[in-house]
Amino acid sequence: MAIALSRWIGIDGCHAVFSRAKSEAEAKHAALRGVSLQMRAAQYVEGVGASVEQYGDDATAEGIETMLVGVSELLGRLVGADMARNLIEQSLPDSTQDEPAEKTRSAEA
Amino acid sequence: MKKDEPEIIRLIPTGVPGLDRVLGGGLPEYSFNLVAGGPGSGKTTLAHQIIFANATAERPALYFTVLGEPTIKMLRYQRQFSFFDTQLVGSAVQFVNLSAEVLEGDLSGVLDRIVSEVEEVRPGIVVVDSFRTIGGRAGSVEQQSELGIEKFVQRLALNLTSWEVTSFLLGEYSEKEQRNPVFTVADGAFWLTQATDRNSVVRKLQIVKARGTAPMPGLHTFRITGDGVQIFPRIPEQTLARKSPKRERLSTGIAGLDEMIGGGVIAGDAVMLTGPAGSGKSTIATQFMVAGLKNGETGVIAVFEEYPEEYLERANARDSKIGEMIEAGKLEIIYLRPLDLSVDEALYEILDAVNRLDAKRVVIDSLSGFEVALAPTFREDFRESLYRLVGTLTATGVTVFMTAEVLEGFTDVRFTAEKVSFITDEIIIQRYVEIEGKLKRVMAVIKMRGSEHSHTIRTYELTRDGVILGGDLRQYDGIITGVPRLRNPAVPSPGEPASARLE
Repeated sequence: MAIALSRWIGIDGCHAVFSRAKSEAEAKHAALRGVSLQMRAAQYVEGVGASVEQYGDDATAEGIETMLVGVSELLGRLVGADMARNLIEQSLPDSTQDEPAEKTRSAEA
Repeated sequence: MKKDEPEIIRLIPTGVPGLDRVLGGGLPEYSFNLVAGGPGSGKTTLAHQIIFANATAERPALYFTVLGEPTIKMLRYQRQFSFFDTQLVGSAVQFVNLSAEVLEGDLSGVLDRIVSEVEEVRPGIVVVDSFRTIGGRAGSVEQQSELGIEKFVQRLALNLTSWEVTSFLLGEYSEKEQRNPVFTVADGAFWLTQATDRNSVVRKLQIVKARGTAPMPGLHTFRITGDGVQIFPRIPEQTLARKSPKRERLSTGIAGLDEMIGGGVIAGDAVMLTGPAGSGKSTIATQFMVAGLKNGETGVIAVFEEYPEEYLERANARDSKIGEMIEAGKLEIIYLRPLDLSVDEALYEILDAVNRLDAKRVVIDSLSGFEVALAPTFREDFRESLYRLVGTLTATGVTVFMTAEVLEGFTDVRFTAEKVSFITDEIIIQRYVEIEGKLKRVMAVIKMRGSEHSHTIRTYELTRDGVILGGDLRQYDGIITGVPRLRNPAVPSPGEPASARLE
């Protein structure tokens, strides 16, 4: 998703948004402390495996989910919720041009 | 092009009000264009307006952003414009960031990325914003790369044209850089400028190059509002087909004044009413308009000195017809007082209302206020601008009634402070004179092109019902000095019949 989002807003822009979201999510979820965001790396989010080992599946998933919600909310505040939703929909790995209803559902989820 | 040949170059509408007219009908399809100008000159807004007007799901627009303004911020600001349809973002309008390729400094990589995106998306329009950023970085690595900026531009143009794409490169270029290779390759070059003069900012557009079309020459002022860019084409008067007015007489609504001007204002003429403050210029102008409205005509009043509400309140106090007629769509009051106005903008607003209402009468109240409303740079050539304004309006067949304030001199006769009497067909002057220790208002007709008119100077009163003309002052000499002398009744004036002295 981060790589796809970078197509729209650039690697730096995308990283700035994710970093802010992670920073805020980290305050609530200790499981994110070992997770790092690697700009220009093939794998953008690193340390998830170690976090799962240390904090467990649920805690790590909750932390990442909070971070992604943060990305969505931050983008919404910056460019408007409707456009942010469009950008995220286009960036989701499963999104295809032929399935707008599916995209909407997955974005809402 | 021969008549039987099919049209090869289709002109596409830009969606920017006024721009198609400046371009000579629209933008040539598949053209490779450069939009140049300084920071804040409106390049990005212009490009967005064009893509949102033309992009479709079948032929999307690809907007490449480079370094410079971050994409998020650009979207944040651009979405404020009414033309920005967020529903189109992601489908018909797609944004692609090229900063990674540009930072690598390899122009081949930039070109490859653009071409691969074009191949995948199949856009109808491509924008690169800012192209200068690519060129600027390429300048520093040109020696390292075999692909210089010139070759890059040429290959980009060829690729985009091959994919049947209409493209725009946006860049911060100065006027000294018009020999830049980008200008050579481009089919069209739009130059945007903004100049600050005292407290006003004037934006101008020039089409410095347009292959395949015949653009309007010169500088065209434009304004950026919540609806985006609006261009006010510089309209040379001679390009308009003049309507032949019927030469009928139009009543001024003031019985005595109609007599003085030989039966009324000649339809299609430009009338100038000049006088000092408080002499009743606006009252007479309003009476002229009301006379037309009562006759079933439509009209437009352009006010420059006061707010329309104030103007309306005063006018309604004398005659409720004004308010009723506005509600009925027979009259429009245009307020033009921004202090950075261009003549073309004023002309556009007035002409638009004239066409909308099919107006027969136009009142401009006043030229003095109009001059002040103009940006300082346009005040310098006010006479020429006014000549175009009046010429263009009268060419449509409307009768134009203008007021102008003159400073009371008491020792001379001034027709207008603006020295623009040459543009008018009819001139009526007002002034104050002192008679028996009191200021009296008088008026006279100075000029009636192609018609007889009275040469007498008549007093008039401003009443609740408007202007009411009084008698003449033939028993006085030296009226234009402001201090008339009662003539000895025993001495007739030259050419005066003896009976006149008895009146």
